[in-house]
Amino acid sequence: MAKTGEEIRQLNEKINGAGYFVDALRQEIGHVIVGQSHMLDRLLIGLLSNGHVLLEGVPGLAKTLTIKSLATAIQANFNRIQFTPDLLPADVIGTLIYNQQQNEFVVRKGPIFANFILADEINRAPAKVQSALLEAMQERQVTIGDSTYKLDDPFLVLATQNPLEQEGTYPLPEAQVDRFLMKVIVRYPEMQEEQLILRYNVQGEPLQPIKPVVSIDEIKNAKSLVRDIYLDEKVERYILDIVFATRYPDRYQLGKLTPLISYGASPRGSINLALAGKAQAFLNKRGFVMPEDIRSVIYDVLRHRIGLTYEAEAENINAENIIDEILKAVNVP
Amino acid sequence: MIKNGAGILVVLGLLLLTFSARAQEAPVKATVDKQKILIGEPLLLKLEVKADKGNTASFRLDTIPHFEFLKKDSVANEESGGVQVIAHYYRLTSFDSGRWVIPPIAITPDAKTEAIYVEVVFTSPFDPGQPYHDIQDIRTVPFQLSKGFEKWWYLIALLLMMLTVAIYWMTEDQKPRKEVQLARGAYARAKQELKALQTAGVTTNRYYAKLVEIFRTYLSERAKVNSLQQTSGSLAGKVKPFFNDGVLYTKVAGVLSLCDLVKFAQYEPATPETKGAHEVIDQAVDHIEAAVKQLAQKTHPTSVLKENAPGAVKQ
Repeated sequence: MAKTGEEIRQLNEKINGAGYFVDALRQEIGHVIVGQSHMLDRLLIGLLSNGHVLLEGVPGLAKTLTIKSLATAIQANFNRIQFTPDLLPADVIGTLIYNQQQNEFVVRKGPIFANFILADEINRAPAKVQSALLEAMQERQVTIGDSTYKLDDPFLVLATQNPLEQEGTYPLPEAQVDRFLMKVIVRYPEMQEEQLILRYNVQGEPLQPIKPVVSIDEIKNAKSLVRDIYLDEKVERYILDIVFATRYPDRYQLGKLTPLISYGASPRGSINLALAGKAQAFLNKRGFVMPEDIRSVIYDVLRHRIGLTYEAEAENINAENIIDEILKAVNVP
Repeated sequence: MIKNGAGILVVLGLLLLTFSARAQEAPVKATVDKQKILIGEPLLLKLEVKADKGNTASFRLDTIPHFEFLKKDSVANEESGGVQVIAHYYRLTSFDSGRWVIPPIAITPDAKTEAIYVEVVFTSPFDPGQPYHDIQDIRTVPFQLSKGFEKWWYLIALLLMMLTVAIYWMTEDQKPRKEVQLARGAYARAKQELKALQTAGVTTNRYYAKLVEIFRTYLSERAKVNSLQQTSGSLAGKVKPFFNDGVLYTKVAGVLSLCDLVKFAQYEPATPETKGAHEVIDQAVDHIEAAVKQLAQKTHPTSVLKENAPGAVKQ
């Protein structure tokens, strides 16, 4: 929707006021988590743009602690579901159980009824459980028996995958992975950061408890502001150029990528790139999106939406390399 | 004595009679044209059958151990003194070395030929002491041009040399000239477009978009910075090495940010702000041009000398 310069200036002011919690959240979570600022920012982007995040990283990188701390800091409730091969859809969404005293079936809601869900090792559960979770993520409601229940707002699912152990897993199909707003690679901390982690844990000093710094209502307000953030036609065009370059590299003088890409990003990729760009602009306390915002989130939004061919895998080329080449070829408005 | 001589004559007569009777009793005969052949060498086997006129003695010879049939059964009939001689010819060979026997061939139950010995040998006597060579050794053949081709060869070589000299002469002189023309073109074009933009009368948004586009294109062509694919923030970082003047660099970075505000946030700058932005970009182009020339002089002194030489293209 077109906006005037004055409207954008007013929006800027609103965002500057409403976005105070971003720094406060970073600071509060920083008391417990050392480093991992990239992961925290991506969780906030997921939260603000109503998306879900797939986290990939080896165990022990504070994924659970980060989301737990975030939930506490925004006074939201949090549930963790450990995905195992014998998990059933009812274990996630809930079921009807028979109450002998009242002589009737009553609803027992599953752990999905929370603001923040950590679906730990999502690829360890069979397809039907993954499918139940992903459907709930998309619909934001679940049906138990004859009744449909709306899920909480905000509702953010963080699914984790272990990239090392692939035996006995059920990899998420491309169509399911596409439902995640972002796929974030959680990396090891820097040496200095790890030294601090080591010191905190070895000294045995109790960590400061996380204090709530923002309410759920303020988060909901921020979400509505994010939707209002101005996205200029030139930036829209830039997003489309990038996404189209993943589908038709030849049109962007990137013919060398054609044999490496089996399929490009879907329209959901364009939508999510724009939404994540808006949320990134909010984190930067701006009422409009700039190409920098798009470039900042592009790897996390597109890495799981670009299919690679066997040729690319044989040459050890990954989606990040493809995105690098596209960014070098597509003109910035 | 006479008795003894008569006895001998009687014995000889009896023997002759025996031989003649025996000759009459052998109506079949096998002969070969050679008793010793090389491996694979043809051998002609002739089988003769004597029979009364009108009697067609027919038989079939299929195989002979150690021998191969090259051609079978060509028949010739001869007649002498009321006796018919039927000759069957077989062309044989052998691929087994050794001494082999063509066995007696039975034409009829009562008539069979005699066995024939045939020796099959190598080309040269086989010496197991010599090294084994399944093919001949490679021999070097001295290169020699045929006399008719020799003059053409010299002519082609001469033409190739002339072509090489011509290509070298053309490219050696034109390469730096082209670079100079392109570089001077980028600067002149940027200046020309900046001047034209002042009087273009376009919307503010379009004005700033064009202003930054001129700057980016100039940088891309002249300073070899992939400026068209950079965001304003990263572009500011890329052009920093060209500025020894910190004040001008700060102004350029500010103008790039202003351009972003106008392009992406519909910001409407005041006229002096727009005029100032234009001046900063104009100065930045001059500054970068001087810096690039200085850098080129350090790295390729000859190209700059050529650029400044009398007769060089002046813009």
